[in-house]
Amino acid sequence: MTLPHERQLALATAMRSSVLAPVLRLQSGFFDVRAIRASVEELRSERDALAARVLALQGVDEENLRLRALIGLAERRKESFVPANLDPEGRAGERVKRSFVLDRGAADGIRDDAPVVAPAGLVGVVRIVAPRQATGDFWTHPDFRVSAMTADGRVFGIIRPQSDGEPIMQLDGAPYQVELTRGTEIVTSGMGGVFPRGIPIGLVVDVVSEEEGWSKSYRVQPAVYPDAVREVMVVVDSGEGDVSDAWSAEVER
Amino acid sequence: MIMVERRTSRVALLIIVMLLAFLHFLLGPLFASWYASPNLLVCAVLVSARLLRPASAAATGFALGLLEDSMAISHFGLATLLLMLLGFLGSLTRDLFVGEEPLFTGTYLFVGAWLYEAISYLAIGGGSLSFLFLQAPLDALATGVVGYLVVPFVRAR
Repeated sequence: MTLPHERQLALATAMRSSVLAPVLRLQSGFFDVRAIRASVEELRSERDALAARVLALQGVDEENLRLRALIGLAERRKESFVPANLDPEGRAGERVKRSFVLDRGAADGIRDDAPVVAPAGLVGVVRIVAPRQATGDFWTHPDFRVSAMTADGRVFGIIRPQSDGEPIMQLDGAPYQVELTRGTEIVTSGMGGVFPRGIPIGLVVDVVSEEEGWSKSYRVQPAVYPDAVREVMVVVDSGEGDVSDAWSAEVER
Repeated sequence: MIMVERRTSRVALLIIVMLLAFLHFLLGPLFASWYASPNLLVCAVLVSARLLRPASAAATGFALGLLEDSMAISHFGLATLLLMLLGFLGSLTRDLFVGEEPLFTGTYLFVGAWLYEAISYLAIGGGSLSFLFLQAPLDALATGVVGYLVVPFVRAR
């Protein structure tokens, strides 16, 4: 229990790639069957809705390309996403889950430290990758950190989970002179080389603490709660770049 | 003759422990959705503790706990520590309670499984009484039922 997190992960990786490897392979198939069963009905209704929507959107892509070419913009580099089903892992009775298992792994292009996102925003990060399965930490994990900024790029800081066990975040290191108002959107800053810029993290709630003349810490309401997410996307080509366009109003609509 | 029977019993125990561990990890996601989910690792440790010396039972708990911690990385080491202690203490009960009366076996499995669930829950910061006195006892009961079914296969002859 006192081992550093990196050592714990190394030990867990060793166990998962040796003794537990056959079980993980079988479990992966088990996940597939469960996910398929659960989503058949959902997919049927979605299919009907999407068919109507596709008809309505026909021609929008072509128009978009024409307009971009017209104003001389190079097509924005697209991040590669891998869809995955997420299963929270935890001890019996654990109120806020800290880790999860994905039903996709190295064979699908997922690597260590790959960001995991949902339509609402940041979910967590991949820690251990097996051929057909990956394990990661939610943002609720005590060791989770991400460089963040306000959506307008004015204020930067570090996001971490609050230490009291509640599913809420804290933005540390914000400049003392700048006052962030309630509802200010916080996104990833792209610094650090792990998370690309522009992934929604949450909204500012209030000031938690101030270091006189130095910095402020804010409480941040997360965009994604671990209990509320089951289908996620793993960013497999990240580190640099800006993915904020993926969460633009047009995409969400 | 006695040596052969004892060896057979050890082999049966090894097979049962491995089978329970395998099923625990394979069916874990399924159990999680049940009202009362048996913890087959705890079951394996408790059953084996009644047949092994304290050191061997603790080693069994350590090995199974390490596997459990590798699957759920949060609070790494908690299951290793608790299952090791459970194995050790379970084995000590051999000196206090001789024989395998149904009433004792049932109580032993239930109390052992409940203690594991409750201590584990408190250690991760849980504070819900409904978990401690409703969910955990239900899980312990399910674990006890599985243990009850398994004990005849490993019983020392």
